[in-house]
Amino acid sequence: MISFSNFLQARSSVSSASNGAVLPFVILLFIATLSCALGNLLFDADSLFYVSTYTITLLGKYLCYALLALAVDIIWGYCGILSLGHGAFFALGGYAMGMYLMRQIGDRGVYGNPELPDFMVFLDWQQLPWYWQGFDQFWFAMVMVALVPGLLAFVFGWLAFRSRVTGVYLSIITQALTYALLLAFFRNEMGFGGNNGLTDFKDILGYSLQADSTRVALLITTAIAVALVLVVSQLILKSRMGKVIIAIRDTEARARFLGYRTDRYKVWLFVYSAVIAGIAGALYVPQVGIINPGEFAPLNSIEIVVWVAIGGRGTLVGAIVGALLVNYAKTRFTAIMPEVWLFALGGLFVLVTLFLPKGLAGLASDLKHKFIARNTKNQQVQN
Amino acid sequence: MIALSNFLQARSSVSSASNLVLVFITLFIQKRPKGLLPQKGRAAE
Repeated sequence: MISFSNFLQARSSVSSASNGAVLPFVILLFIATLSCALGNLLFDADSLFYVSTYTITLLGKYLCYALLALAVDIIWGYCGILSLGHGAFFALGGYAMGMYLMRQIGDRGVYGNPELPDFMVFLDWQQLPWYWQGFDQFWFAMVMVALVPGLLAFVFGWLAFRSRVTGVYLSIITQALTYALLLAFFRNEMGFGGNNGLTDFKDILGYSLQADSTRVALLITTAIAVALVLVVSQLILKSRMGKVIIAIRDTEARARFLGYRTDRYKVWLFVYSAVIAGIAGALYVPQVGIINPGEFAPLNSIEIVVWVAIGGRGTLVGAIVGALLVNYAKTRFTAIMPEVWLFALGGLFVLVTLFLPKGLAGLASDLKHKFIARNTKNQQVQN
Repeated sequence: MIALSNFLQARSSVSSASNLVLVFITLFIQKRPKGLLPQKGRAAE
């Protein structure tokens, strides 16, 4: 019992540390984003303050990953649901955005068909499939970005949580889900461009995707999305519902015996998380310029979990920091020694699991506590 | 599993066969969340 209460204390100390970190983090995020945006738009290429468009796009990509890490942390860190298939929701959101961007190409494709995307002309299709209808409208595509991952998560979560699938079993079926979608999207008959996916995008809402200003606008939009999700998630997790969710994580059976319908809380949190992942995917696609079935690969979903574990699960800012750091390291490493990267990632995961079970956020809060303890000790000595 | 996969491949393409197997696994775990022969008694969760 003592160890259990220690455990709870340790957890609450981590989350209290992260609660205080949300506002400073949002401010920092906006300062960083705005200075990069101004550095790109206002300064010449040879100026000291110039930020290249490559860097802008890279940062935008990192922030999309951060959003995805937030989505996983919300269900894994706060509700104990380890989803190894969150890449599926990310990719579905990405495909919805990709379909809109595909329709935006219009008759500027290789075959010059005003109605059909290139790959459909190539497959000798005569008309647009029914599920492509409406994607020429931006608002419709945006609704689908949230609706498709949300609906899939609702059906999947409702079935799984109602029949009390937990732990490893849930991880296995989420993995099966994303793998099944990977195989399905590889098929040309599905009508999503087969293994090439959707690419060769020209513009979004009439603005060229190649323009610096569009790149900057996308980065700022992504930063706003991260900040919004961070604040809203913190409100949800600090509310009464959030308390039940944390209770479910710690002992689901007890929460259930106390009269809470734990499956319903889990389903709604799962849907919320899937929608965030979908939005992350939708912001990712215009910035990297392609979406293909590779995004459904189970390995991608596992990598997201590693980001969250390294940053510190159960702390929202920790998940973001983990995603940013690991991806920055990935960019640097794969440029210098591409073959070493996967070993480095694996080694990092093992080391963090062994020595920093609460991730970098846990380390930060431990150091803070030690510092405070030492200060009070010094004061006592002085007195 | 391989036999099932082979049987399904005979009726459709390779990728949709493996797809069906995955859907089958998912449905099976939904139906029996602790596997075919679950742990019983106090040791069970």
